[in-house]
Amino acid sequence: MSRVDVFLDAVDSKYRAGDVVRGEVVATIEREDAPFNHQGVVVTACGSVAMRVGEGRVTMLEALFTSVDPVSVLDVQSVLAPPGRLATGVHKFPFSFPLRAFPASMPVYETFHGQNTQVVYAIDAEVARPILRGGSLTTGMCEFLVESTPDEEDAENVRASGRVEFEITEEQQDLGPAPGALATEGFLVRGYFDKTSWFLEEAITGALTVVRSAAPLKAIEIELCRIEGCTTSEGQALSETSPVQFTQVADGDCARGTEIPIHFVIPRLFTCPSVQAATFSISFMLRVLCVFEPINPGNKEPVAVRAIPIQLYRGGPSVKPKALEL
Amino acid sequence: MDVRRDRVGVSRSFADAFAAHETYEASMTSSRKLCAFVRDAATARVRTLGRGDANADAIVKDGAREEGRASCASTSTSESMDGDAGAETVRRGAAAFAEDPVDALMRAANASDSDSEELNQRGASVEVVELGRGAIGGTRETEEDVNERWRAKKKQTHQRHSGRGTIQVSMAFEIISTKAKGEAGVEARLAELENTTSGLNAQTHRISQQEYVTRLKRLNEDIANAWLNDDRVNALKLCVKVSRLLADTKVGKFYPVLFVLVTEVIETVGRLVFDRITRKAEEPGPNGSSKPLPDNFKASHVRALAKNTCRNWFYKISTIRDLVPRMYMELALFKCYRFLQDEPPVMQARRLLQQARGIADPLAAAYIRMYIAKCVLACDCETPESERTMEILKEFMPSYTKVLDEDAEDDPSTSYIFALGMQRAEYVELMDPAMEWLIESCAQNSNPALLQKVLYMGGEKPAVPFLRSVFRSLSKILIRENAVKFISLISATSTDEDSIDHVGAMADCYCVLVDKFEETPPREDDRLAILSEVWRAVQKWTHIEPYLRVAERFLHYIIKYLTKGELETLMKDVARHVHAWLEKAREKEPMKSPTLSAPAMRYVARSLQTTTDYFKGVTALLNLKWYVYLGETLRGDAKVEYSASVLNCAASGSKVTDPLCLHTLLEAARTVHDNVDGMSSDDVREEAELLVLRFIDSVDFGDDFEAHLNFLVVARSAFSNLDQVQELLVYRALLLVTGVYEHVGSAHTSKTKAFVNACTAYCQITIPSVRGVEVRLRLFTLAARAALVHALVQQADGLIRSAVTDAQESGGESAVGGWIDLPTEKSEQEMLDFVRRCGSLLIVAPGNLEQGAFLVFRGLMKVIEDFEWQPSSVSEIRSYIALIPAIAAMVQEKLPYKLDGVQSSDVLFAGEEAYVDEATELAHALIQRATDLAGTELTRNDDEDGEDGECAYKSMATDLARANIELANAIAVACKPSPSMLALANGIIDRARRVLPADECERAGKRVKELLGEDAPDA
Repeated sequence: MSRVDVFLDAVDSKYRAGDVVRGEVVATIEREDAPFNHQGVVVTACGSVAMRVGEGRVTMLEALFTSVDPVSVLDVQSVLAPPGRLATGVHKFPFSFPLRAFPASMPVYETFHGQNTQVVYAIDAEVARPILRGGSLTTGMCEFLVESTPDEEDAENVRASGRVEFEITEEQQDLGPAPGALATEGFLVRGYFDKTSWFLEEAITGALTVVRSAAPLKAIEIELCRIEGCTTSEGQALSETSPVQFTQVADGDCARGTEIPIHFVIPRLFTCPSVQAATFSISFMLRVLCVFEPINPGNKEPVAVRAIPIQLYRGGPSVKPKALEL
Repeated sequence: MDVRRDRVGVSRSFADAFAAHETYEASMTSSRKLCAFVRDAATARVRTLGRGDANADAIVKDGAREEGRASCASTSTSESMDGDAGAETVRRGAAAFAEDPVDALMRAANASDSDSEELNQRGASVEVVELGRGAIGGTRETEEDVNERWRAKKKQTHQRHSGRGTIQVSMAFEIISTKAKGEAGVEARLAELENTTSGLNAQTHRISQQEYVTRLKRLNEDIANAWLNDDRVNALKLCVKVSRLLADTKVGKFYPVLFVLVTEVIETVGRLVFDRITRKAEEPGPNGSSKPLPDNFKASHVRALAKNTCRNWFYKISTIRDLVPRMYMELALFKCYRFLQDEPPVMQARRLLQQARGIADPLAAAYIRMYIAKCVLACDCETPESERTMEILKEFMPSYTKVLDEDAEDDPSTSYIFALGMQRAEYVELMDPAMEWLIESCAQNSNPALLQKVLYMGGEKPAVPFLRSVFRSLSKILIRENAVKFISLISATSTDEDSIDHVGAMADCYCVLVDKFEETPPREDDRLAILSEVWRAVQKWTHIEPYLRVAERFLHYIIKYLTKGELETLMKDVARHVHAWLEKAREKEPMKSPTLSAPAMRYVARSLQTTTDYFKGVTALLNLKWYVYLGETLRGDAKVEYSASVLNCAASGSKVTDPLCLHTLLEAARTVHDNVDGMSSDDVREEAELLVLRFIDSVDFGDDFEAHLNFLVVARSAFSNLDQVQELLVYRALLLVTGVYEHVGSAHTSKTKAFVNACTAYCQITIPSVRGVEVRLRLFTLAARAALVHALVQQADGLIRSAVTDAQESGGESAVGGWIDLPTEKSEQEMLDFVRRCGSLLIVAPGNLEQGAFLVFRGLMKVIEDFEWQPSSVSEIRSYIALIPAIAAMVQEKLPYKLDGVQSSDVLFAGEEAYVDEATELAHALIQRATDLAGTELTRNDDEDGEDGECAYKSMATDLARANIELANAIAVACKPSPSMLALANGIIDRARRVLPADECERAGKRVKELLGEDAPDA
């Protein structure tokens, strides 16, 4: 079967805003289809922010009526070859286009696969042919990744951000139906995160210590949550919090008083720099979860939570991917 | 026919003829000679007893016709039965998992990985390199060394900790607890539905170790298959699941083995990933030739594509939620950091080490630290001062000591220990491989200061298991230098109330140290100090087993490095301890007699064995009170071994005269003998026999014959199971008899007479219980001779009669130990010998006044008749031939044999015609019978045809012919010259002429003519 593929030059198909996206469309024509009469080879790149209202926030009925318009970020089309004929074999059509937002005032948002918000960039190549003649050859939407440009201001923010310390005690906690000794004698977990603003390339680091606890611990986890907000066409602002990733820091009832490091690697596709746009917003938050052993096995486990909002920024190539190091 | 008779003073024709005849025995001519003969025969036989000659008897006939036999009565069967042998191999529950999965995966990865044709196994190479202990100054171990050591450690852990038993597996780890993928899902869900309250974690299976391993293997295959199908995502997922298993320490004692198995799996995956990235780094393009990466490539050499892939892998694993699998996966891919950075991944290692604090379970934490240490070493992160390993050890030790700390009840780690239902000491044992690995890794760096630091990490009072591991890994030189210090460290851990485990662990430590001393001798001045230090602590122990263990090891040490005095002191102390322990046991249970436990006894036995070997002189040995006492505390097999060694020691020495020694040795011999029963194998029996024989041989009472006889009596009842011993006892008794003769000659006092009577009576009683009819007959005749030496006529008569009865009754199939046990030729030969000897005896032994002079003679003839001879047997003829001159001799006026004090038939029946007539009659009958037999036609054996048949026939014919000649000779000797006899004799010789050469027959004919012809002297 004849086919058409698009290859991008970047490793990992990752581009930064402002880069020139280069690649080639490769059409492979089999003998049975040759000569291939086509109406042109066109490559289209588009990017948009698609939003939907989360299921938990509105009822079904409301969901039918509320809608959020997608925001288009990129829309580029270029004709690579005029209508013509393709012989048997492999044909390559190189192309390139700059990765610039359209309209120009819009920042190029980073690729983000969230729960309700999706920022997706894709490229599509087509060798056009009318349906009656057999239909076009197309690649379909091939996603490529876009990273936003790092901002000097952002870098400054990150550098300036300081340590945030936290303490988790039994106060102000909903410990579930049968907290037992926890509610009375309580517990104390102290810890800190090195910064409140992080580059996406880094790992979130910090440490925590279990000072005392009346009940044995089951685990301590760090949860990264995203808060996706969107403004409906009616002007309603809805936001939803959902977890992105859990990373266990302590397994079991760890020793009291020892400092346990936190090293949380920020996942790539499911995070992006914190964004506050006109119609949507994406922000992030860390939650420290202390899970205790239930009094009677079978009961729900008491969980104590502390939330800490953070800012994420794109560091760019100047920031070494320290995620893999200390 | 008339029997030739010498007329005293007139003719000596018979005497001369008889003297020239074959059956004449020179020894019977005087008591002295006879005594000498008996003595020599007995001594010769005694010497050969128990030597285990498996050959058939060789009848030695020398010129003087004295009989000395080299033989062996016992028949050793060719098959040896291993009754109790065959050490039971302990079945190991976990199969050897080592080679298969790795090879399978590697081969599979080799075969059909689509990216390249060659697979360069860089970094996966595990050439066997000899283990280098770093030179002074600490060179680093190469990667191969580390891998080599790791493999040894894995094997050791596997062996030490694998075993049988079931493992509890919770349903949460569904990959292991599932039977098959399809079923499991349903089962698990059903279970969930049923037990909504208890929750999934409470569900546990119990499976055997073997099954667990099998399931792991299956998982490994799944991973391999997934990788081959380019489904690397799935392979990774499965691998993560496998590594998650290490978070579950509820498997308890299986955990070390589980660790070994799981790390092998994840290492394999790690290697696969590394190779994949390597290949990605090599390919310059889709159509170019690939240039392999140099061996020590830098990150800068690596293509961006490969770096990307590498980073992707790391990102992938960093998203694993659970701590334990995430860490293990990162460690599996640790080597891949090399693609991203030039420096060894020290930072990452440190981070991982700190993250390990988050693992609350001490066992899991210990093992992951062990693995971190291994990866650190293998990836070249270590410094010459072993800083990394020390860091790890610093993290590890507090957790370890806390486990051992009895007072740390509140510590959260305690709950993990008790969740497994183990004691602290047991739990700590599971952590031992980890600790040993860490300490060994430190020990690779032979800088002594380093190990000093390690030692100090144990704290003020380091725990005994820690010390034990440290000592195991320390080099011998270090131990030598610091021997006394180390020992005081161990001793310092002891408190007043020590549990048996603690004491046992201390004993282990001491033993480890002493073992090191075996190879490197400690310093001169230290030697005694070491012993006294150790003893100061050990002496206080009341638990007997650890004490004995240490004592036994130190025994070797003392023998090697110290003097006999110390050995005695040590053993005295051992005896004291054993005594005290037994006393205490007796107090607790006054009704039972206390015994040591089996392992304790083994230690005692071994110590005694060492002492026996050392001392070599049994008298000295048995005079040591502690030796005898300790020997008495032994029971069962240990006691038998001990007895055997004592007897061996005694046998190698000189005669035993000391009565105390004797008593002890007798007891020892008794033990060895009692150990032999119907079911003992032949080897055991032979050995026991040999020991007892040598013991009895070595006993020397000097001139106290009575004491000796008493001893023999005791021995007979004590050693009733061993035949050769009984035989020996008879010979010894006979030697006593001859000994008496040598002392007093014929001048007996009533006491001596009674004594020799007792001796012969002893023989009379003992001989029937000896096995083997030929042995018995030999003994009977020898005993009869001995009796005759002392003119004990009645005894001799009794003995001869018993002999004849025995020969008679031993025929037939139902006789136990009868003729039927012997092969036919042998039995015939024996019979012939017996007849000859008996015949000689009968010449001297006086006939019975009431029942007829020839009663026994007739009995003997009947025996020959009834014996089952082979058809055409020459021996039968020869037996008759043997008796002919004998009967003739019996009627002589002067017997050819004469013994002091014995009134033979010539005196008793002198002049009685009836006597002579009876003899003539018997002679006639004998000659008749012999002639008939000798004349039988040889039948050809139809079965044997051809060459063999001819030869056999010819040899038989020759034998028969010779027999005829002998017959003729005998007749000539025995009969008065007469033409009829001459004719008969000649006729007999004619029979032989057909087969034998002419000159032989001529000679015979001439001789016959001489004796029987007209010119014969008696004619």
